[in-house]
Amino acid sequence: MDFKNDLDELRFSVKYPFTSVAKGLVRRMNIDLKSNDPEIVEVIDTAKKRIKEDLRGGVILDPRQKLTRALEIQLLSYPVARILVALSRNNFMKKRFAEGESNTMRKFLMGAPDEEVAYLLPELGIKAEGGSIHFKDYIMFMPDDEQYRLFYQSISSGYVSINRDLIVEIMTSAYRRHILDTLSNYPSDFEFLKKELPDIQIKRFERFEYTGKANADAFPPCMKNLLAEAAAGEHLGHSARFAIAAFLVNVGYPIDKIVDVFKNQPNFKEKLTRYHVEYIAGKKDGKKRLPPSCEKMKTYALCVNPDALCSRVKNPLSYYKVKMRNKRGRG
Amino acid sequence: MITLEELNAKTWLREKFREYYAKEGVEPPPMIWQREFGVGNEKKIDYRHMSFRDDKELLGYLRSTTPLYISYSAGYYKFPSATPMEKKGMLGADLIFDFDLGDISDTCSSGFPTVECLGLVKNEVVKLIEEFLIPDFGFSKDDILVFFSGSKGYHIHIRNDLVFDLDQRARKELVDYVSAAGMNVRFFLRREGKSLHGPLPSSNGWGGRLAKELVKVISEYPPEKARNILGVSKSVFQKISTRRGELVDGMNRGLWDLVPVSMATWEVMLSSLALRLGVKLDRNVTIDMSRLIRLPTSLHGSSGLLVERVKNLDKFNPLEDAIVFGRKYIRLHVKRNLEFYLGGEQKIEAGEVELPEFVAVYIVAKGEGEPIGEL
Ligand code: SF4
Repeated sequence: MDFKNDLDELRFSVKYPFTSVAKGLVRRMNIDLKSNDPEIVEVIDTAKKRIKEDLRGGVILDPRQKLTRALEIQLLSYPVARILVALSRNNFMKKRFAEGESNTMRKFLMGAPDEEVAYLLPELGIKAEGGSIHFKDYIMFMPDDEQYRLFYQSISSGYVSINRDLIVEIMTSAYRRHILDTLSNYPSDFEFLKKELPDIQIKRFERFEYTGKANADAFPPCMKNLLAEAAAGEHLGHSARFAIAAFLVNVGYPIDKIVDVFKNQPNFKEKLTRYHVEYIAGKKDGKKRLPPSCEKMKTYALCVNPDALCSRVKNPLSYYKVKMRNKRGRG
Repeated sequence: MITLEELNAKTWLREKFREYYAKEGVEPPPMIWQREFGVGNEKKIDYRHMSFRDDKELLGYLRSTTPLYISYSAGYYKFPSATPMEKKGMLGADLIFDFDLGDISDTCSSGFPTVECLGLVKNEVVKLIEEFLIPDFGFSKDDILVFFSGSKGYHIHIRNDLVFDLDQRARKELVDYVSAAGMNVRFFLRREGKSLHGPLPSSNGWGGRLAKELVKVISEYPPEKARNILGVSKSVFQKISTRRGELVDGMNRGLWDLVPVSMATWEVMLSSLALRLGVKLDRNVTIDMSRLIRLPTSLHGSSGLLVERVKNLDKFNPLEDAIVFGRKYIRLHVKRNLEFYLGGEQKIEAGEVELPEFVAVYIVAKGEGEPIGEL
């Protein structure tokens, strides 16, 4: 990437703080987070603000800003925010942070010139050639909607040719994944920043606290995972939604509670969801639907972290029943 | 319960396998210390969660314990023998495609596999490689290892960095792509203003594949065959067939409605073609990253045939080429009259017979006879 001048380079780095250019700048600034310098205090405060904004969906940045100092602080807030989030050891926060940061990048990408996009692709580890990207990156990061499935794309010699908008979507999820992967290491060199953590603690989304007969501890790994994803507001595909709803119906969750499970879905429509859940519960035709078998769950890629008990059951529901029986036996 | 005869048969068979492994050994998979193994004598897998530190250990095991079946994981693990599964720490996995007679034709799924039936499976393997893996995904021939499964099918293993860290969802996307599973052909057609646009026969990927095949079927096949392939009624076909020149002409320009064909008819025709052009295989094996697959270059306990690397798929005939045992005569008690192909046509009558070792091993492995005397 050619920059007209230092300011240009700095502005680019504010927009794309994950690039090697930006990392180089940060390194050259050579800051000491342990010092009590007013500038450092400001960087840390900005980082905390950044995290809060990320949790709400994205950061508000001002790369057009003329003041070098203000730009530098914006840039530095990124690595510091990452350190704080990693120190928190809170997976929920990590997810939301990754989401927020990648959304922010998406906004910049949408208005960016083509050469900027082309420059950023390899920075995100995406293999590209002309307007096409490698099928591996495509299938790893493609959006969930049916229309994006690989069948419907034009693919040849390993490369999928897609339009700009779709490239931007792929870059966004590649970046999200990249952040999550790199946040899993605990930055022990920065333990001294732990004192900042209380400021960024967030109220979690309401947990599923239904305490009727159903005992969520006894849920199989697949369902626990789906519920966690639903709680974190991750977009769930059709089969995933069906699987949870049918499972919860069968362990005796009330309809209202099940509808609530989906309320963080990006495209949540209360009425429609209720209609589906009632259908699954057999309100329409008296037939209660069963959750998919483990085998089906596997083909939908919904079976995650199966445990020892899993190998003895054929349906997530039987997992629950066995576990409950054991619990009662012991209790 | 297994009977005494079966026990004897199995002991004899394992002895034969032992002799073979002592002489020929096996070719261990790369990164053997990161693989999980599973072995069996009663079932294909009686025990799993096993691991071997190195090639020597594996070979030693095959020569001393000699299971009738041995499988290994497509996955690579930090701790391949740890249980439960999630403690293994998966690092990545090879990409596997599994082809079996049972997935291809009902008539082929029972009894002794025939050359013709195995040929049908081979066609699917060729289709996957020539129509999908190479042109669409850009794999090179060297990336694609083909193995005869040792019994009724083939396995393809792709081992490289590219596929190593594909997750489950990505693997599903790949296998759905090649098999057209869950494809909704409506997505290939778009209405723009008044006209219906579709892929060109020269387009890449499935769009082009479907358009090209449609043009070919309509313009080159005899009418009755074409109609069957497309799965439409006589009257609908009549309408299309009489104006096929125009239809093809339009499709070559991406315009699919020069001849009025209802959306429902397009869907029927394209879906029939997708079914025909998609590869028939066992999707689960590709998707399930912790699956165990028959170990290449081992012997298969239900046939005594070699799980052989196939170098020249065109010429390969498993019922000739995967035979490893010799022609020394063995006395056998055969349970019923048998007719099958193995290194030539075999016609064997029930009762006490003397048969070349490779035939004897095959019959015993299939549970159709027991060796006499040699025990
Ligand atoms: S094996 Fe069945 S119950 Fe266990 S995680 Fe998978 S789908 Fe769920």
